[in-house]
Amino acid sequence: MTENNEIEPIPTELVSLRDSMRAVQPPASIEQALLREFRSRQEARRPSRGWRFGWAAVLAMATLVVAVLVLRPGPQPPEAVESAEQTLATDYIPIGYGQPLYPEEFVQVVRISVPRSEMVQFGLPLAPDAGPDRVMADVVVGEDGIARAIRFVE
Amino acid sequence: MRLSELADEHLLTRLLAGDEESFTVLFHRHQQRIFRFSLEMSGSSSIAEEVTQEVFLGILNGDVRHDPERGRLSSLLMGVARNQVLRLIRKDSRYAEDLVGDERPGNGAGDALSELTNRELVESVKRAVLSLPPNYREVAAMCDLEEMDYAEAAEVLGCPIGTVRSRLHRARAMLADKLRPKTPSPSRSVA
Repeated sequence: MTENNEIEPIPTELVSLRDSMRAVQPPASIEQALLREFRSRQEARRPSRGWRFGWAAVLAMATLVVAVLVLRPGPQPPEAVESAEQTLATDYIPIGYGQPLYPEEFVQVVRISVPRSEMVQFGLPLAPDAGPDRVMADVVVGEDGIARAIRFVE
Repeated sequence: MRLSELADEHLLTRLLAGDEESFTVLFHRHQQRIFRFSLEMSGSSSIAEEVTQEVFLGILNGDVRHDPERGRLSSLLMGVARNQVLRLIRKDSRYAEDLVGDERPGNGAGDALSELTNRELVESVKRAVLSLPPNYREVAAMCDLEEMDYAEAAEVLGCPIGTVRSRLHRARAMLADKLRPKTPSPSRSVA
């Protein structure tokens, strides 16, 4: 029994009206119009090919720089090798599929530990002697709770 | 887990991330109640269609922002529908009278006369509901026609549960009065 019955039963006339309304459905045209709108918005949000190639170039350049710094032969400056402080290994890398961040969107950065092998998914080199199995990463989370970008920390 | 089993909040997150199927599931979950409530409030199919569309466009636009700590998504959507329908009713008061033409098809069962009688009854109740002041009409539509519990109706209306109870009690009394057969006054019957 619902709370609705606590005052008095629903008048029978209202029950007739309620029953007559049960099968009422909005016209299918509403759903079609909304789906068109949804798709057009998704299309507008999707980054253009040029944008993607631009990011790919930036990412490739960042990867190259990281690779050169990490793998270059010869003695390293002591502070680069033995610093107890964690340093940034990469810039933020956008995580695909999600909508882009809005300029004024409130975001949170969460530091997590991930398997080092995850770096491969983002096009980063995985040197066999790179270090421990796990690596720290900063994940940018948007207002909607969806991860938007990641950067790896050494 | 199938999408249809996901809670509204998860579907909302997924659709905002661009998942069309989540949008479809969420739409099908709420569209009928929003449409019917708008129709019960306005008596106008065109208003009900406009309200239903606007509610879901609000989600796509990001105008409808849901905070789970402040209530259920279903209540939020009904609240948006309520505001929209009241705005449209105020804008064009002729819709308060435009109710009889919005007949629903019969179910095909029973003989023609009883079907006709039932339809007449339903139409008279529709008229009576639509003639209620909006603050009573909305509680009758939510609690009696859409079978929302008092707590959810209070969430939608932003008022205490006690207010919902008392308004519903008053709405039912007004409806009973409007639907009571009018008997001729004694002086006329004698004459």
